[in-house]
Amino acid sequence: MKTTHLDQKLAKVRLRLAKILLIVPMVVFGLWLLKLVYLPNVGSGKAGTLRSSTADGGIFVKILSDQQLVPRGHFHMVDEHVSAQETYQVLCLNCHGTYPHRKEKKTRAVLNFHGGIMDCTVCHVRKDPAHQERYLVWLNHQTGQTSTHVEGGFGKYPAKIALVKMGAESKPVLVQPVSEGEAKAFLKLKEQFTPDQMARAKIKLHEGLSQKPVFCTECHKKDGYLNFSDLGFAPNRVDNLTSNEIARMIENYETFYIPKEIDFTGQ
Amino acid sequence: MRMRDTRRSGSYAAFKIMLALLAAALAFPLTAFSAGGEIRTDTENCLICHRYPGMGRFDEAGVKRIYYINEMKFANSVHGKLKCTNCHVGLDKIPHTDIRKVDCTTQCHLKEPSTEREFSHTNMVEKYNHSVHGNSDPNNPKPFPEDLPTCTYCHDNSIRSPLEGVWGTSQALANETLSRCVGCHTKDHWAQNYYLHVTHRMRHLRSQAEIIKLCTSCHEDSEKMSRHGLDSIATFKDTFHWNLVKFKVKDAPDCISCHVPIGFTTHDIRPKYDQASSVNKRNRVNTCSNQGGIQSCHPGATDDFAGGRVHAYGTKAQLVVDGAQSIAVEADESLLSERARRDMSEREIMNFKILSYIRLFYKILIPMVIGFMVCHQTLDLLATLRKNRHNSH
Amino acid sequence: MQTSNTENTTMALSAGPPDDGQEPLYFIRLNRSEKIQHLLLMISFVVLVITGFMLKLPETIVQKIGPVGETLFFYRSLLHRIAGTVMIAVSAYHLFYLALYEAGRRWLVDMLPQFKDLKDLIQNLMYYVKLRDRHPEFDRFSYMHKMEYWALVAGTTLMSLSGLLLWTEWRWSKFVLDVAAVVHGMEAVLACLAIMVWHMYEIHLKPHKSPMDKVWLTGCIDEAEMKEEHPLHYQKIMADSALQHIYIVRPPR
Repeated sequence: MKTTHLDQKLAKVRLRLAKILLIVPMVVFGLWLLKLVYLPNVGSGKAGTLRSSTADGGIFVKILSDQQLVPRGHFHMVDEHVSAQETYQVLCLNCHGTYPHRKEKKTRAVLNFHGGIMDCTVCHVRKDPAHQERYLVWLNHQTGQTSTHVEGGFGKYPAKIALVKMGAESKPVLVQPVSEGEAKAFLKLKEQFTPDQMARAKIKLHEGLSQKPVFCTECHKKDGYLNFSDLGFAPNRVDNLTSNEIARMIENYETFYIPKEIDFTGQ
Repeated sequence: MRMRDTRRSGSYAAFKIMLALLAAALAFPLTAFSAGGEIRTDTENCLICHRYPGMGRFDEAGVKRIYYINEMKFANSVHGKLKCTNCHVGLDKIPHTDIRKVDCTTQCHLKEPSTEREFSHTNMVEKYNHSVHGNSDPNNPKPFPEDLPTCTYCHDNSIRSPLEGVWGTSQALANETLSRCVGCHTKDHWAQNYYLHVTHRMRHLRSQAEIIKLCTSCHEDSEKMSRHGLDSIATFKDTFHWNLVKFKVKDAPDCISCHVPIGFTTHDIRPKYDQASSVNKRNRVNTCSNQGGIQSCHPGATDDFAGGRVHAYGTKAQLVVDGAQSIAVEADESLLSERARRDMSEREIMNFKILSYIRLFYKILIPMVIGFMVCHQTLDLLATLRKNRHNSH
Repeated sequence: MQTSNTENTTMALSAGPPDDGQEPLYFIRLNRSEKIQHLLLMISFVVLVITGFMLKLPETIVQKIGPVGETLFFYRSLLHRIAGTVMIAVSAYHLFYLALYEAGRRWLVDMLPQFKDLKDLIQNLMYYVKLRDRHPEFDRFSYMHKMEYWALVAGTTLMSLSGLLLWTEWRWSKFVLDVAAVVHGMEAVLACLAIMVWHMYEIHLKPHKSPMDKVWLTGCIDEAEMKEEHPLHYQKIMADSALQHIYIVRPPR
């Protein structure tokens, strides 16, 4: 008796289920058909009508909708990773972007290219006696692996020179100028700050940075700030990178003619 | 190979050596390419700095400027044989405060073999200036000339592509063909270059989707289009042609299939009322049937078939039907209304109206019929349930 | 050319009038030819809907299909044309069937709209809203069947015509093709919605038919259902021995 009752109930449930399985796709399909007839442009990838495209906000809305990594009109072929996001990166890039140096016309592009081979913290957070645990190493910004060798070829840098410290399980972690939690809190509260509060917050946000960044000539000299040998550069390259001429060129970075007479590739 | 610049005084020798050392020092394991030692495009050592992917900045207009050059890609590009300063003329200082915008009509010191004159893109640029995208007529200047695409808007320094052969993989085909060349033209590299120069032009470089993306990047912007008196091209997506593109069908009709068919050039697209235009009424049959091309889309096309409207009707038709008074004509749109009245024939307007009425008819019929059905069946369901309940009691 | 319904049925049932009243009776609703017509129509309809509305899939979804798209599109186009041809062929055959076969002519006569259908519609709606106690009594085809049938005839005609125009595009002016495309699309939406609301309810969702009315497979219904849903037809059959030969089947002894 009991089992038949249960069977009946089961059969009923199965019937209901079958009905739902039939009705739901039919309703979805039916609604889609109605959408095709009455709202043919919604979600079809077509641009809006004549007037709706002139949205408020103008240029900023346009910037927001511009997803292109390489701007239209850029002529030379670049690699896809040129502006690619990396998993292990310093927090600075979240606000300052790929090309953080803007002000100094003469040096900005040169400084920016250093950003492709090293983290901001290498120059902007000095190693000092108070922080003995910090050291510089090649860090693969995709995988988090460290290395003491120069890795990769041009256009494909899996690793950058990074300022790290030993973290839990003796795994090196990136030294961040500000803790992730604080940075998040700042971004969250950003809109509520008064201008003065904002100024204070910004000072606090950047407190971890050194007042004076490491200048070009501090590394590009003998026994300078960076130990190129420790970073796996071959002896002759270390010599080249630390030669007096480089330092002088940088300091006297004014009118300068590109030498065309020497084979620079050194092959 | 190397140019000797007599302007240089010896005082820079130290810097030159230093730069050489710098380059060598920063030379990460170099590509297999330069290891071959055959090709080295960078005789001016620009790559000392420009080989670093991080090189770039935002310019004063907020445009992202990427100054990075991928040496491999450049060497294999259509301009791979040129020196940087062939195009970036007069660039001598670091930092480059003397930079000038690249002019594609510059003579680039290559000999054009048919005329033995110095090569430049002047021919193409002149043609282009007279096309619908150009602005050559001083008596009739185009409004908003900054909207018109420049060379680099459409062109990048594309990598030369091998032929996709029907006889096998492209590399096998290249080897097969090149083996006939290198007997006399003993420099492999030269022969390879020559071969790629030809094969690069033997195929469509962009997929249909890429072409459409390129053209729509302007033509779908209804705001930009209306200030030039044009319809937004979004109506293309109402056509069957678009379906083929959407599904990535080979040889699907994209913009240039009709607007630049065989015998026409992209640089010389003309407006449709120009008799030299492929979509001009008198050229339509040819364009649809694509006679003389490698592809025949509508081989039996008649005047009647080809003469009709291909893109669906858009804002222009709507403007004419609604009348200017019912739509508040903004300054930007006055040209659109004006052009609409000029471009839309009475017959086209009639056709547009008929199509609109058919659509409207169905838009009313469907909810009436389906609405009745839904009500009827719902009532039936309720009645049936009521009856079942009644019977079971 | 005379064919009776019973000759066509595939059921292992012996035909004929009720002799002793003891046997359960079954009444033929669809003969074998009609069942096959329905089956072909159904399959071609489903194929046409799927392959047709595939064109309207949004770009973002189609992009996910990737390079298979071209092959998919090829078979889509092919299947749509094959299914269209099948549908047109079935419709054409149906016209022949209506004209040349006894059963077809009976179908046509029974299917013709009458004044009674309008009355039935009103009375049935009144029954639904409890203004009447009983629903009206239906003949072989109720007004619901007739509406669906004639809507199907009209829809198929429009779809076939517009489809053939689009298939032979180069012969026509672009405007004719534009009209054909609009009609083809809109009519397709109408047909799909109608089938889903009207037909699917009748055979799948109606409480006592759930999960499925099997008449399209068996071709017949039992006496109780016949009495309930087609009382007028039932009475006609019971009063006429010729009709009994045509419509009544019995399980073998």
